[in-house]
Amino acid sequence: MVERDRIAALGAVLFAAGGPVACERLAALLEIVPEELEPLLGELERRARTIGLILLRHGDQVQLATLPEVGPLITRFLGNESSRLSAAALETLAIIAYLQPVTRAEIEAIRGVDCSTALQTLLAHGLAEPIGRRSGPGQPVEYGTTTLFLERFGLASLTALPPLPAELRELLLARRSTH
Amino acid sequence: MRATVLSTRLRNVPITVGEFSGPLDLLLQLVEARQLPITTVSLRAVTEQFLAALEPLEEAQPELLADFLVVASRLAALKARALLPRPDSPEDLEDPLVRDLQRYQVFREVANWLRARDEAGLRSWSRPPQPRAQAAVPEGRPEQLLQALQRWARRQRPVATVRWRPVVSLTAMIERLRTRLMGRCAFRTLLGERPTRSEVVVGVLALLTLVRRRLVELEQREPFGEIWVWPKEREPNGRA
Repeated sequence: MVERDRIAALGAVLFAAGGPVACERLAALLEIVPEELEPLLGELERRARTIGLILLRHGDQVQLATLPEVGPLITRFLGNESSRLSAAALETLAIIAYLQPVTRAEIEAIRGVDCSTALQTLLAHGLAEPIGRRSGPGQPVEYGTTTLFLERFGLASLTALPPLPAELRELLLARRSTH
Repeated sequence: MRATVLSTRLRNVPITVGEFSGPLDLLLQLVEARQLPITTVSLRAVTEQFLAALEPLEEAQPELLADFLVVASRLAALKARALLPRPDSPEDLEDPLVRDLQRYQVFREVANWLRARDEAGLRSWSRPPQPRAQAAVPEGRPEQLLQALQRWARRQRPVATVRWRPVVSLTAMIERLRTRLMGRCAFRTLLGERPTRSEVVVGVLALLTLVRRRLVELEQREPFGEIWVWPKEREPNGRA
């Protein structure tokens, strides 16, 4: 299969799948090694934009979605207004997005307040999900964001979030290494 | 401690507790309202306002109060240190609360950034995911379903039959013996044809009860021999 066809095949598979697909699975399907997939996805991303689509990247998952800039138009077209999240839920979501995998206790340490209600809201909306358990006392559940989170806020990947101030990033990295 | 130390100027600052999404949120808004940098000094400055905010909270949301009290106590400690006359040491200027508040401020800004995207309608849409594998529908005739059902039925072990044998109560057995007893007769005939084991056991118990109540008399000539039963005659002079 020539490269041009591979890119077309990749786009077709992602369109047919609808939801997120693991890169590993895509590579196996195209009978290529995972390293070969990345440049193909890059080219697909460029072409997708010409028809109002982007590639959402979440961990090793890829998903086709519409351009965030077209969001208002599509909302008008579909005619459904999504519910607004509370300030508490948005703050909790922001913390999860940057610090994932993160435990409830860590979120609460940053917000200084009980976060169980906000967390439940995010889980119910499918914006966050349990992604594992921290090794150590109590084995608390670790939370992370979902592809729906990226979709809902028009982010191509987590790297599209605004960068953290350098000193805070260092502080968080230091905290991470002590775990 | 709270309202008494408030100056009238501070009293006029409107604080609505319900809108704050936590003690740090409240603290940050108090600091930002004065357009001060988040330093130990500016935290000391808003201590009274923060404590004043606790009062309506006490009644409104008692479950939130603990979180607010933690921050309030840290603020009170800061304030106390400031009031004590002693030279500021460098560590006094860097309170952990300052660091916590700066960290919280960053995430609150990100939350506002997310909210702005949401309100601007900047979002993506995707197609609903397809079912992973649609079950292939094999061709077949209705008779095949019936055959499959029959094959399944043959494989099933017969269900063990449970025989339901109610146990006769002692009272019922006494009643039964008394109605059946006409003159002298053998105990076995009183039990009816093919009595169950439990009927025999309850029957003997009933018989002994009747003897004890002096309603019947019995006779057994030899061990395991026939038991003869008859109603006891009620004689006025009372033989028994």
